[in-house]
Amino acid sequence: MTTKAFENAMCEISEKYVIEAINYSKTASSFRPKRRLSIVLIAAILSLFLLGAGVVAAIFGDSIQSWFGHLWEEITGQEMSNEQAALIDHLSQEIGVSQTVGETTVTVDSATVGDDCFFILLRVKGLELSTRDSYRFDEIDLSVFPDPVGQDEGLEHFGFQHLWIDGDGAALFMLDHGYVSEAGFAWNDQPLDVELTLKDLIQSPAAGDDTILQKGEWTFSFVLDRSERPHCIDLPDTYVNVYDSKNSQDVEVLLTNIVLTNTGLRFQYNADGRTYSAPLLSVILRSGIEVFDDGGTGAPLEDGETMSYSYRWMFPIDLDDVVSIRFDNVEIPIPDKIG
Amino acid sequence: MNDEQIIELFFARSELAIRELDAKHGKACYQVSYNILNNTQDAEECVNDGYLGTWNEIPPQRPKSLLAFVCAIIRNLSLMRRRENTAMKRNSTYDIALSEIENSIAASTSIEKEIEAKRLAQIIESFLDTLTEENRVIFMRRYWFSDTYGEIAKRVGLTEKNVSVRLTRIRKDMRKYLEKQEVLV
Repeated sequence: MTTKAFENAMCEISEKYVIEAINYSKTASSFRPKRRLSIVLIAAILSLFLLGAGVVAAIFGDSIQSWFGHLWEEITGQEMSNEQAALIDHLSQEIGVSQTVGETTVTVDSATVGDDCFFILLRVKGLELSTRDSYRFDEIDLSVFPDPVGQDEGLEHFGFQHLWIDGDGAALFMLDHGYVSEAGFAWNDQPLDVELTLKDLIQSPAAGDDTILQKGEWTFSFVLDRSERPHCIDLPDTYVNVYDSKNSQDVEVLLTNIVLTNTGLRFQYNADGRTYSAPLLSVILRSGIEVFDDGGTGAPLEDGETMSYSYRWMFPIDLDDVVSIRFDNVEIPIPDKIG
Repeated sequence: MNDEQIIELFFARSELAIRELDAKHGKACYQVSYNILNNTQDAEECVNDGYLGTWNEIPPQRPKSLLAFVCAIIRNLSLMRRRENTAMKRNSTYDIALSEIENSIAASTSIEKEIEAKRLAQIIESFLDTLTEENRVIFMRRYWFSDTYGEIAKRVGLTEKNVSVRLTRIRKDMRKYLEKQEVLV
């Protein structure tokens, strides 16, 4: 079939699908930053969480925890449990470094740190920003020390996206970083030095050309504490199908070294030196709700045949609430929940 | 003024109908056209032509959704202009979306099967019915409205990357569905 045939067919598509797409709205408009959670309250929640004790009302601040809380509610349609809230707090840290260029102040607000990835919330304030437009930086440079793939042919990636304009008129951005090393995964609890440079704030209207809103360079140096290691669960080797888009067919591979963590999923398989389409991964929660992955990175190991992958969840997930993971159509139960 | 009142103005043949339509839905209409044409002047002209088309269609038609009705007219006009203007740079969001879908609909053999647009639309609709509402909206926003990942992400409350992964999965499932329906051989 040609794109022309698809184009013609889409012109004939029933109006009901167009109406549905117009009326559907689950926008982030419900995202309203709440009060910042005090250190004392975090400690109290964590203590109760660790003791397996009852319910504590968690009130997040206008930080990365608040954004993940918002995402949780949007995706699951439920209020976040105290255990889930405590976990996100457990993995998160305040950074709070700012730099002002012209009228624009950029703040590296807070971070959530996994064992092979991290997320950073940035806030941009000072100019009049519109909820109708998107914002970005023209150039972003990120360096981390020690470099997790500095000595090998692994892959490091980072993403940067505009999330929303908050109640104070500040633009919120999320930066995420992950890597896969050629040598495989090795836990490192040493602090991670981060250097971040952002150049020229750009306004991207819904329709029309991008314009430079603030010319300049914002440079940050900060340290991420990696002492709070996420929980990990090893899962049994499992056969799954991966999609060979070049030949339009599914290929069966054996997933090995599958590790589920609070922040993502790692696995390997022998790919015979070939690359396959990214699978859709998800975790199934006790409630039956499925939370999908938010992208990942893959690179060959030193043997050149085994591919190693690291995928991230959309937000940190309390593993006690997970009953299984899904790799496309194959469900892999969490061991202590089998049977 | 709500859509029902605007439609009543069309029925009353009041030119105020166009002004109210533009005030309420002008931006959305413009975006549908701009996403296809990537040109401000062309998009504005298609929107104006679309309003005229709406004026000619209502009455006798009484649309269930005024915005969907106008957008469909403007989308068709914009696609026509895109086809006429062969010198146009193919770099709009629509072009990007179309190139994404190319691999998912390409036949794996050299045997091409002709299929009527209406019949193919029915098959795509039956595929859309297999999706969750959210995935259906993501598909339509990308391949009918030509929204960017960022715009879709905001609408459905997901991240851009998640929208990208979802679309990859939907395209893959659509390919399988089209193969099963013997549209692709």
